[in-house]
Amino acid sequence: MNATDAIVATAAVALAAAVLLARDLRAAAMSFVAFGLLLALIWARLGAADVALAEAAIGAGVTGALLIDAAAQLAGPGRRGGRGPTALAVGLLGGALALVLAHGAVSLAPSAGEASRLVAASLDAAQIVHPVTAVLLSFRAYDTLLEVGVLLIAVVAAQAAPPVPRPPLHHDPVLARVAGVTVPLAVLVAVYLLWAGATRSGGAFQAGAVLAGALLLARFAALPFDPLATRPVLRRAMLALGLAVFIAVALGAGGAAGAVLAYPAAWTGALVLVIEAALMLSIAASLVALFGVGRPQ
Amino acid sequence: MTLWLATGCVLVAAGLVALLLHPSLMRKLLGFNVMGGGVFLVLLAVAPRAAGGSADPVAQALLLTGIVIAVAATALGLLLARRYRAATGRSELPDDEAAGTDD
Repeated sequence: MNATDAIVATAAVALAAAVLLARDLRAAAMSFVAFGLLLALIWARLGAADVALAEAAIGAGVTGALLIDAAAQLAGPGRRGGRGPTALAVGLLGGALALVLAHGAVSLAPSAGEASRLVAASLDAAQIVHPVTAVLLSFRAYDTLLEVGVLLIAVVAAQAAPPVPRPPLHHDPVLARVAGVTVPLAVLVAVYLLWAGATRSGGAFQAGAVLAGALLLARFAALPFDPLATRPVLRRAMLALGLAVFIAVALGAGGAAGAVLAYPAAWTGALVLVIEAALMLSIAASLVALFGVGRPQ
Repeated sequence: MTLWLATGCVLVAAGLVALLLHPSLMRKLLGFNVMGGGVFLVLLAVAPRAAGGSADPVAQALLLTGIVIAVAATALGLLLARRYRAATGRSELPDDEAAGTDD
């Protein structure tokens, strides 16, 4: 433990308090963005670069934008709750829970690191260079497949609810100008993150989140480039693409390799890239769909 | 590591208390997300480092999955909260006593 870690940990707890105790929802949502970025910093300090990228893009970026967007519509009569005997009891129980959890976590037998040794030893057999990508798309590909399914179910559930009326967005020339420069750059970063995922930190999730940011910015700024809003067929195809390609590869290539979700030896790199590209498009389309924002008038 | 474990446990408890106490739906979702951050922190802190100082790849993959599921759940929750607001005019759950008399 060193001084920087102690400062970062204290700041994380202070920001969490700011999120949970803020007077109005907008301030709480903005504090949450700062909290998410600080978490990304913690992941980086713990050596988890992949998680840090995803936290910054998804945890702080997309979640923060969702919260700030919702704060205006969900404003209530200020902060309530947190007084009276019930609150006191729940607060005390919460403190006790923290102590019990900390005691349990600290007294855990130190893990020998069997899992990460196994991953390192199996990388050659999997023919994937980056260990996190190997876990996501080879060793535990089933988890990732189901995760994409969960994301699609969330989108279907969100779209099944009748749309909530919301004030129309207005065309803003300054925003349009800024977005005109930022959107192509963000698309470039997304493609880079996807490509980098094969050999180092990056991959479909981080790339999908950045692409979602680009698409949303294009929509908020009313840029003429907004294929998802103008073509419903394209939107649905893009939502389903990731799961469809993943299942097709799992069965097709898996059939050739002798087991579901296995890759034929010479094709691993190409198939993983195809799956990741499809996942990136679907994750981006899903995050945009979950925003539920229509085109500006 | 003890420092990160302690921080994670405090975040889990604080998020859970907020989730239970705040009647506001959006504040409940904020509590849920802070709690999730605490769970991720505990998970990464107990996982041993791999060779070269990077974190355990299995734990990293679990966290990546968790982050995506958390944003999907949050977005769905916010959408339902908006629907609830549109349908009832409220953005908070009713008090327990008031809810009892509604039936």
